[in-house]
Amino acid sequence: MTHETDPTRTAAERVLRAVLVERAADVTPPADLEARVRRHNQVRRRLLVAGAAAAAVLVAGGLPAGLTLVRADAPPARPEPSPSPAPSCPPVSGLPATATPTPASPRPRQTGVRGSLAGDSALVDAVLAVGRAALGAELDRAAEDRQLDNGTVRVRLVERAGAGVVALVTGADRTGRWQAGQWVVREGGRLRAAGILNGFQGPVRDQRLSGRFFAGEDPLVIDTVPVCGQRYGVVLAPPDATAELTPPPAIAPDGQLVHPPAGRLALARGLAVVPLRGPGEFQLAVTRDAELVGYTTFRSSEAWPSPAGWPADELARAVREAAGEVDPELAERVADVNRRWVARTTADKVTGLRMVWGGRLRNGEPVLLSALTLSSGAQSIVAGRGHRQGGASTIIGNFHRAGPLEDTVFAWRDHDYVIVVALRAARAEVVQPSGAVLPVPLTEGGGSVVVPNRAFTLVRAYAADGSLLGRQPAGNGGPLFTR
Amino acid sequence: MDQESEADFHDFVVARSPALLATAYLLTGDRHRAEDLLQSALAKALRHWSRIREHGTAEPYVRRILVNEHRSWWRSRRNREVLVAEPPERAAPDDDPARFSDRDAVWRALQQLAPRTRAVLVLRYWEDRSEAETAQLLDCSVGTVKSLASRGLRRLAGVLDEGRPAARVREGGAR
Repeated sequence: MTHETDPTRTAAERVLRAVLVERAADVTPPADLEARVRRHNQVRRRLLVAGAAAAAVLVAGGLPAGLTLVRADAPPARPEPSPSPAPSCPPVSGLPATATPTPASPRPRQTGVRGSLAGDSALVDAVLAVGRAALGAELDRAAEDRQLDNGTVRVRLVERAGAGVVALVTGADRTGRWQAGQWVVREGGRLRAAGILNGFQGPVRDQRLSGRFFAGEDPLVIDTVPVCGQRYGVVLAPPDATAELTPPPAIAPDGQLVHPPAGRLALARGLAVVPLRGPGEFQLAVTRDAELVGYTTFRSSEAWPSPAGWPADELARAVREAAGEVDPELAERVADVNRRWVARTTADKVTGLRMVWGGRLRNGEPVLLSALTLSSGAQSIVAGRGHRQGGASTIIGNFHRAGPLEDTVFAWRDHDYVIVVALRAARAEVVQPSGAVLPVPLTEGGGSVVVPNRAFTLVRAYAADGSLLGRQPAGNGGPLFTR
Repeated sequence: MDQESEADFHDFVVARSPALLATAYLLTGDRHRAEDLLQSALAKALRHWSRIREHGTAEPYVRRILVNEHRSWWRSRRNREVLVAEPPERAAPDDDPARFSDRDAVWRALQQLAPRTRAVLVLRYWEDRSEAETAQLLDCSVGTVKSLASRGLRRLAGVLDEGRPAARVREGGAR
């Protein structure tokens, strides 16, 4: 009996379970997770920085607009300080905005503030007031017995961000255990608290490495902040640090990610505020004394495209040409998830949409397999399932090499179901851990079978002449295919 | 690390990272943070992989790191503007609006719970951990798990009760 139907459970428990199942299906590990993990450890071992500065080059032709990259052998450009007030930008609708507050009482003069607007004491005071209030509110919201230590609250930077201003205020609670960085932005002449980097004291090295070290004279903060509808990457590092930005990877014809060389990011006293444009994931590394001290990944707003949907005729064609029977509603949704997954990962263009196969599970719910072709010919594979109770879940299957999908055996588990798509297969079977073999009824190269208990299974698909087309493990969340 | 261990770690990441990321996401409520959390946990595991592999305890080890890091390091209270990777699920024609309203409300309420309470609910209702297992993972007593689960569920039940009239109004308005 499942949680959803167990009558001994309360309504809250049943809804909670449904929510957790539904939301859990919304996330998929990044394609380069393992690479990131290994890189993370390389960082710890101080291996990554060897020759990093010398390797910095301009990224020929691949430089996203708005990013300031300079040659490693050239002195980093510094933003020109300007005594004039920052220009305004139209207020962004829907965002809470507060009028620039006038400090109620004299505040200690802020020292060590970085950024071209650090000399604007009225602005710095106003930023301090907004930031301090937001930090205090965050502690109140946490409903834990903590109080902000006003003595720790500092304005760290005030810098232009396009037509607006971005600022960072840091502070800690009285125990010193809770430390946070509060973003404050000015849009259309009004200041507002934009978001908080909320953390707890931990190993300094780890905090720095993740770009969230707020204490002391040498904070290290790396984050993205939206200002006037544009997302900016902000780096606040020790003044003698250097930073390198790696543009999003391309997807090679064999489906592998190819990372372009990193370019050096101009820091002014350790500070850079750069607009992030274009899809894909940027990687930023901060080094100091030949040691990598901070690392994070950035995405611009374009890496999260709005669900504008596919042209109806293109979607209809893909549904029409699919093997099996594709549910159009599910197809639209899965195609959109696939498109956004690609945009999160790479700046490569999508050149084609294919619904590979569609069918229905024994309970009547639709399932399908989709493929987006990228400019290199590689294909982004995403599977989806529509749920009777509403919504859909998707499983992202990484990038398939360029070429036909007909010879690939795709298999995945979705709760109690194992779904198989092998377009050239005449028959397929699921081998259970016990050794028992279950045939998978195929319709036009795809089908599903119930295998309870979420057991790890092996799928085998055979051609009409009995030869083995391929084998594919189908566990909980494993890959959809073998590259 | 020898080649076999390298391959073993690769297989583990491929096979288990989706499930571990799901848990991390449910713990943190934030996709980016969940990825950070999982990356950090896997990095720690990788450093001790040969030993972990010997003992055959990879998944419990990584899961424990996930939970502990969530509790002690970056508790997910990042009140920033959240970029939504995927927009809210669009309702299919046969969707019950009240049910959708409930789910959204419960998800939001879950984000507002204290990290440890949320961890208890995730471990109990997503991972199907027993109270004893949950207590072990969270390094607390079974009584604490019971108490936190009860408190958390009460909060969620309260949200559901609050949501009923609104959902009915919406249903009525749609006719």
